Amino acid sequence: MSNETIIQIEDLHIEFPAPQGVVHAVGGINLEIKKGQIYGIVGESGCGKTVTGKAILQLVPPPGKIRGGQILFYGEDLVQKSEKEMQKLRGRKIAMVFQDPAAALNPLFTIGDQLMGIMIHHEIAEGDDLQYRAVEIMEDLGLPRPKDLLNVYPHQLSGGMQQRVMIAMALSAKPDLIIADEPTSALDVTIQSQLLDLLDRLRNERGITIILITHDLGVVSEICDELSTFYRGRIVEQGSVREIFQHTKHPYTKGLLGAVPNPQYLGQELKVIPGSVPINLEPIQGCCFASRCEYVMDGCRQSDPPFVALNEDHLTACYLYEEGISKGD
Amino acid sequence: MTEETILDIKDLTVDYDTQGLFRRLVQRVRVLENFNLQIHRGETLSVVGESGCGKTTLANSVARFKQPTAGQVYFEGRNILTMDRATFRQTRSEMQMVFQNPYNSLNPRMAVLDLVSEPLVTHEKMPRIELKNRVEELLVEVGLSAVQMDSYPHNLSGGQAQRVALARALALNPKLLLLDEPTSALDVSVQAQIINLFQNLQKKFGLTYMYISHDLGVVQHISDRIAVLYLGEIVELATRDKIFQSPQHPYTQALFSSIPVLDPDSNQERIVLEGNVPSPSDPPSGCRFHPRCPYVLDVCSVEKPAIHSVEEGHWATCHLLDKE
Repeated sequence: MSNETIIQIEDLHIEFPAPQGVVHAVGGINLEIKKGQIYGIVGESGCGKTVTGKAILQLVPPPGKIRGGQILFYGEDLVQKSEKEMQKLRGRKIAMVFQDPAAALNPLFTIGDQLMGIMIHHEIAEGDDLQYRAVEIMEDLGLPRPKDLLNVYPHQLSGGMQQRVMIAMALSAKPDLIIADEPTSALDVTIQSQLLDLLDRLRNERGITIILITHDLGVVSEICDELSTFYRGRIVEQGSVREIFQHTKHPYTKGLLGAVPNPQYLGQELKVIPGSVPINLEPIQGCCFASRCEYVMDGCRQSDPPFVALNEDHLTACYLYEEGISKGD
Repeated sequence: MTEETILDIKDLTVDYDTQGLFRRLVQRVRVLENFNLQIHRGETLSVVGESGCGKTTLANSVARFKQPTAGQVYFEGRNILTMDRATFRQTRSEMQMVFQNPYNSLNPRMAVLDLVSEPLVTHEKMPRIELKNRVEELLVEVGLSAVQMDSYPHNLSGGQAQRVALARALALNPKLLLLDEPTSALDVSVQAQIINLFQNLQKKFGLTYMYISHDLGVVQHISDRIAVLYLGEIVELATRDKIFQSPQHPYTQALFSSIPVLDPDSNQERIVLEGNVPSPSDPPSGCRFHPRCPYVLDVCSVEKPAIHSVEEGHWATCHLLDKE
């Protein structure tokens, strides 16, 4: 892992107009991803993790809009880029892998057409070289019989194979960054294992940076280096995976970890975060987690807790903690 | 816990037919073959396996949504597959099902009050005045309140909707609940609430659960016994602790090793299986797991492994156990 920063997000705001008002899907997040990392973005549905991933590619679905902030990719602000400039980056420098490969692949074209189409678009290869390169990528990823795969349609493949084809497509233009949005959620556990191994290998062998968007904390603990916990469009805890799993601070992250069945605590009731995630129709007053937090204090409802650094690997936004020390546990 | 059998599935065979033009039989896919399983009163028996292994077909056959080709299903000693409709109606009220996605299983045009009272009206002919009280009682039981009575499913969060589905299932005081992936559409924090609810209700009403899931973490948490399914066959069955501590079948071992652990320092070795689950329309010869098995022997592709009893209540089907 190098020290070069590949993505830096500063004070990003994304809003969606809705009949009842404006939904603040993302409300001022900051994060920094170093080259060669696998970075986990964790949270429950509706917390803004997918839209953040899409915002990096400037693909926030309309009528949603980025209302403020910067997304720096190697220091260049992607928010200011024109559609034309973005088209050159998408797939070429930053690629995305979606949750449901069956929906992301075009059912009318063969795998070969779709894979080679990307390479033609980005002028990576041409003529006879195309087919050779397509087979090579699939071989690298351990897809069986890559030559036959070129002439196969997506529906003829299993979910795991489709997802590997998606990863092959994402890799075809040799991007620096892959954003993988719940890449294993639609798959069986044994297939999930195969894919996690593959992502880990891509990072180790090719130095590709991966942003892994997931709700599965187990997956994060297995392959990620750093993580951010999202809640209601904010980041509540951020830092290295080891540090956060061993010294979890924010009550929401604690709640999430406690809610996952853990073989160490067999026979006990699962810890529960009461209630469910509210919709962000109004701008949030105070801490975004105050309505469900068991440690809530008066101050929490009045002002938004700032990020405090507990140590160099660990940030959290919670009034229970102060710079360098933790008041309670 | 008493070892009284509440549900006894014997030699169950279920086929799905693909029909072509004029109902011509194109292909017959055998999803379950000579399937045997007993569920004891008051326990949670989990059926785990990957997609396409026949878990849901099993539940659907027990609930008689899908007519099996052969075999018997005894509920409290009576074969429900040969019952006439009227008798089965009676029995079905004692055996209810909860599905994966509450938004699909609840009628979007019905308010919560109607949804929960529907079984009471059709089965028990409960008079209207009593209905409201009973519905409120049920809603409180599942952690909701009378406030939600006039809501429609789309007004409810996923967790609340699943609670309504559960209240509906509980309305007729069932003895057995068939739970088919009841938490997999929910967020982790809500999933935990629902799982705790299942466990509390089981204690309170002495319910028996057949819990179908692919989420092994959840299964480990709530099960008394676990049956591991691969391509329509049980490859291993044991109590929860036995099967997690000493899994005998290579498939069980691989499956359990692939559960992500919540500890970044854990050095648990994942056994990564090659390939995919084969199609049930063309199952492999001999042991159905042999094309993906890391320990495959010559005999595996030829001969179906017998059932080996590892110890009381723990058995597996694998040729590796032949030698010992």
